[in-house]
Amino acid sequence: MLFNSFIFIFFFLPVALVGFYGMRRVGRPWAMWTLTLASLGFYAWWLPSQTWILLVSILLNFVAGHYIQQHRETKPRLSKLILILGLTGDLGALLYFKYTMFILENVKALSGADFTVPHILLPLGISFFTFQKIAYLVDCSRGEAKNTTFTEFALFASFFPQLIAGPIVHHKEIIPQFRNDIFGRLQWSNMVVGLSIFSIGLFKKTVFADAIASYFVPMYKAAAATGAVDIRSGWLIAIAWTMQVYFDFSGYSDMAIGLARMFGVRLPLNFHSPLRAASVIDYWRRWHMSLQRFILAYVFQPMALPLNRLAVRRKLKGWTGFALTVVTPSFITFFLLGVWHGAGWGYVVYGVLNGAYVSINEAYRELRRRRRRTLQRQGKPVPSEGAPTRIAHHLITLACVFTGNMFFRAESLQDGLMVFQGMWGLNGFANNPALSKFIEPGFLALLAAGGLIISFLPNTQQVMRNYRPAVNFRLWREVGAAPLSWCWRPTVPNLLYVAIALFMGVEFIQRGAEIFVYFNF
Amino acid sequence: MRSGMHKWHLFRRVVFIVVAAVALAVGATFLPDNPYERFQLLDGTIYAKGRWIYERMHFDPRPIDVAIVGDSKTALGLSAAEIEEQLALRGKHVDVVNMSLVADGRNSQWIFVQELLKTKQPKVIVLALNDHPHPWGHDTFRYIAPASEIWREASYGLHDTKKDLMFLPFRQLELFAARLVPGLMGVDEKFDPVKYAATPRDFVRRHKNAAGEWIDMAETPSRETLLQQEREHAGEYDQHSRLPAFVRAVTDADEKVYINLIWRAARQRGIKLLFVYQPAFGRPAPIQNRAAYAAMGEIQDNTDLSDRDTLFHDWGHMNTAGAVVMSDRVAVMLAKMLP
Repeated sequence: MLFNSFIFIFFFLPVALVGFYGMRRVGRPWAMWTLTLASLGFYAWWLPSQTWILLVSILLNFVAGHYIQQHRETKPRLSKLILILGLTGDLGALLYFKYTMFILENVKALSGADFTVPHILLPLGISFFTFQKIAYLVDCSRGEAKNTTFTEFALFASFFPQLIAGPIVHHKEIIPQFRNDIFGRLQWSNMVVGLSIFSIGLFKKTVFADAIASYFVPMYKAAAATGAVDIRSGWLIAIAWTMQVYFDFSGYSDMAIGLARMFGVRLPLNFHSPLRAASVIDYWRRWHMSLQRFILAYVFQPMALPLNRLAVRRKLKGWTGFALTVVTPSFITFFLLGVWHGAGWGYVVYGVLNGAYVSINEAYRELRRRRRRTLQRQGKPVPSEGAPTRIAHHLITLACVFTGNMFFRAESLQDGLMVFQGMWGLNGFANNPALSKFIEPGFLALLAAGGLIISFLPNTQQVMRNYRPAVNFRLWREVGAAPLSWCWRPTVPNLLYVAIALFMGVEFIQRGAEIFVYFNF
Repeated sequence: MRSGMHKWHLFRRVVFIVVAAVALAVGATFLPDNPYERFQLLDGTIYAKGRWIYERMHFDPRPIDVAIVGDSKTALGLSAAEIEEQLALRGKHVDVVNMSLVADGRNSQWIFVQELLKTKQPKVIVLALNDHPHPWGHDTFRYIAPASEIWREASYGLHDTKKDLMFLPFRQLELFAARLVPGLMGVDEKFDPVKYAATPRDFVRRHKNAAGEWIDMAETPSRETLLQQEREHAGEYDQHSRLPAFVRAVTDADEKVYINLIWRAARQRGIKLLFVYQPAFGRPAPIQNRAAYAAMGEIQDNTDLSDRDTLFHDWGHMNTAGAVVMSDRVAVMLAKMLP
């Protein structure tokens, strides 16, 4: 079921809310199971035949997590074995469903062997719910998750607002909310705030993301058909795609955060104006934040720590030490992040490009740090960053992001290279008339409006900052203030703005409800 | 949540947001629009001929003496040129226009008739009849109908009311934006005679399918293929809502409601109606509610053609030869009806 569908907005959501708060009068477990069953129904709506995968994943991870929680201290070896088995099961399922076809296709192409590659349907949201379970098992083994009941875990693992495309949540930020006495008690303040955040997200999705897609998709298809992208069309395609995916996924995340809030749950943030970042490192801190958090905690840090020890043991200093302790784990982390998005050479290039961006960005930072230190040692003043440098940083960041994202969008490596060549003038500078007809005034106006919103307006959580919109908002409260400020309060004009966002968001579903880009991952 | 907010009667805030959103939606339905732009919303779809039909009625000074209003069966099965020619042979020099659009649904036909009567004085309106009257509306209705007609549909409680009403505010916003910023929404304010002249309008020899491919309508499949197609489409024979019969009598009444509106408008202006029955291959079914149609106008019954495989392009549509036969028969009827 899509958040941006009439069946969800006018049927599922009201029924789930009434059921949840109604059953709370009977008891909290009843309310929790009502919400769990509603969430499973929400998931099954898409493809009922694949619901068993989610159910098995919930059951096995609960059993594994429960054992680890109970015996972590008394039977550490067995607990570790259970953890490894659990992680192998989760990763094995992800590898099987997501990468088997890609691997077999490449084996077939390389070996020339004659066999039929089986078609394996990717279960909806498997990348998200698998990561959530991995984090849970690791948290159990670290002693951070304790005494989790099956009722709590079932809801934690199936809670519909975050089930299909995140934000990827951690046990420690959600389960305590379930255990709070007020959980399940109807608070109209949560309804107002939740509905407002949901409306903003819906507006971003249907009014901006889907509208941009309606222009972008035909242009991209025509570009792929002609195989020649000129410099103007290349940049337009890249900008449009990045804007589409930003409004789409950040809109989805807002909707998820708003929906969870209606049920009295605060989710973590997923976007914090990433396109206003002045470096690729900063961009990745603010784009799909819950995934970065996961990757940092469960991939980067476990890798960086032994590499740092190795560098100390080998007495590696200077750029060699830097390459081993910073560049290597960064590159591998971002490579894995690219491949997480999907099985295809385009995603591999996307990962490699971002790994390279982050590594170069780290080296640049290190260079500047050393220069600053040298100046300080020499007693010379450290020059502050001027406006031209800041602007250059923003532009370089955006150029890197736009370029990388085209490999993320590409249906094949050739498609990605085609746009890349166009963007960087490798196809010459003459305009391709076959693509010019797609550059319509409406398209340009939409991109201009989107660009202005991204550049100058506060993001959703900054607008709603008085009402602690996300569980980890305090960490981001002071980060990346927008040039224009708007702080929402429940005044009549502000309520009216929400009503307009809700009205427009619902009405623009009529254009045709597009699935969310990240549903494909 | 700050304590100050509790004083705000939070429940009322939620209600305010929802009620204001609904009020905005209702208010949007009253935004002004330009009917020409409404018909342009069909551009780029399989109903793109709708724009040409509007232009023929409003921008082409030639009269329309006979208007053919129907579905794909009449679009492919009746040739305006052939009918004009046959009528001319009988001494009747008239302008015939085939205003048929793909797909069933009498409500859009009512909109075409309304537009037609604004500018032209037809003498006969030819209306298509199928083996089973379609119980619901046409896909194009929500795009081309004035807001008042969509409210009228709602007042009757017809099947498509919900989706048409839900779409109305969006459409009005889109058209309003087109009015505020001409060119932004891809609709033309002014009539383009070159585009008009280049629009295909007669499809009895070839037509473009949904995939954009040109289909040669002279082709005739084998009898076995036609029978096989007929069996495959048996499920479409009698569509209706999955509702109790007494509710269905209200919701599935598009045919009755709109044929009556067309008939009343025609009667007021002294226009005759000719109902042309178009059989599907292998279904020599009798015309349902024949007496009701007979009370409104003449009936051209072509049931006898339902078994003639050489006249069909597929189970539901005539080929070029079939279209000539049908057109000639209609011309004979029209010759009697025209003054």
